[in-house]
Amino acid sequence: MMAKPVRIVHYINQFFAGIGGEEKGSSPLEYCEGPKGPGLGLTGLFKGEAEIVRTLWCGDNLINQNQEEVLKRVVELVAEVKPDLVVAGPAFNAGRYGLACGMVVKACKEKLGIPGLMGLFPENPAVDIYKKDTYIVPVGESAVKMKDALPKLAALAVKLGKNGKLDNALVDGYIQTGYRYNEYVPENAAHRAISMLMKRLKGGEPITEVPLRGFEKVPPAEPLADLKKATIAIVTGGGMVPKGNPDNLKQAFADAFGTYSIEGLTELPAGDYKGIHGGFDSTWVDLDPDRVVPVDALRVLEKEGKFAKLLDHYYSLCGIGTNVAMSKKLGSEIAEELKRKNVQAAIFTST
Amino acid sequence: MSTMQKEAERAGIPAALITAIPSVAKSVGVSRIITGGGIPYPAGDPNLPADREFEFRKRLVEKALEAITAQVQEPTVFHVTLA
Repeated sequence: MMAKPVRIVHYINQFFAGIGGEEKGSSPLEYCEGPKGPGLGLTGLFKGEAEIVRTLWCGDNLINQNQEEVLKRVVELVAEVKPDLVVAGPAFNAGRYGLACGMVVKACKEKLGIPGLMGLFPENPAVDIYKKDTYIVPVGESAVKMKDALPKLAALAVKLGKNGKLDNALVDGYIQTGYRYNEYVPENAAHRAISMLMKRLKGGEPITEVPLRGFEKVPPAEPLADLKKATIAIVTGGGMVPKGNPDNLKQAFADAFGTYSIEGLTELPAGDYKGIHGGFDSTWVDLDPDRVVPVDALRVLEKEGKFAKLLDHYYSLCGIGTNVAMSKKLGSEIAEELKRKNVQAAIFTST
Repeated sequence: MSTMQKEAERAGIPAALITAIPSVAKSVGVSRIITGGGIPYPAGDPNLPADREFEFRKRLVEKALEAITAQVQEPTVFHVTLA
């Protein structure tokens, strides 16, 4: 006997419900029993393994501007039909529709404990906001890609509805949520690494267990035209601070930087400065702080006239465990200060 | 620090990063990278006698100054020979 089909509530917007476009953005929250719009396509793909028992739709502006009120009613309407799963979209790269899908799915998970799934273009702004809270199936940029999007959404909806969860993102192809879970595998890490290596040696493409993060590309600044007239600053992530750590800088997970005077110093004297970085043995830099804040060598070059001036102070923090967002924030704050102080170039040191 | 170096470059301030792990800096996209002495002492090397260590550090910062005056298109690693 076939298992009971997965019960799904589907959320779409006013456009896909056939109410109208932008001019109907404030249309009210409404619903019908059974599928509507893209839900009809999903239903065909479910092949009887799942069914849309109710479809909800709302104008994108209305739900975004009256979140609390609309979501309260959404949760009531979903609860009434006791679904196994909430599916939203696909919303492609539509900003407000994407946000609406995210808040609906999140509210149902939080208030009712019902898992959810939605389809979004990977660059939709709702992805970063909601990827931690819900499974997001990557789809194309616009509704032109509906035909490619629906089979992916339908397959994962059935799987999620039946099991209450999905396999990891590499297996099921949803956008990584950022959570890591332990799982049992038959082979230990050494065996798996050797298998991957063997596969690569044979010209194959083994699937990594830890995908590298993509880093933002920043075009390099124009080179310094006239070094002889330049003021140069030192910035270190090596956690070198005056003895006693006067600013109470954190030893890891930096959330601030310190600014310390080197005016009149020909070197950073040992004993007066101390490395507080929580991620490396500071024995050698404590013995000679210039090993991480190279004041002595820069003073010599300053005297030789290689450049005009070493900035009167250096910047310091402990560059360890600091996430990209915080690093960007601190980095741009330091850059702003450098500009304000008319610094033309900088030397960074990293431990 | 790699991410911070990029923020300086984004603001129009050329910056050279002295690091013992240029591969990390390169993968994060740091444009001007100087291979330093060691992880716990990027601008030095305690294995050298003091005068040679100072000379090494001087070469490192000279190379850093060279890097900030160099036209680079993509992550570029500059090397220093030991004194």
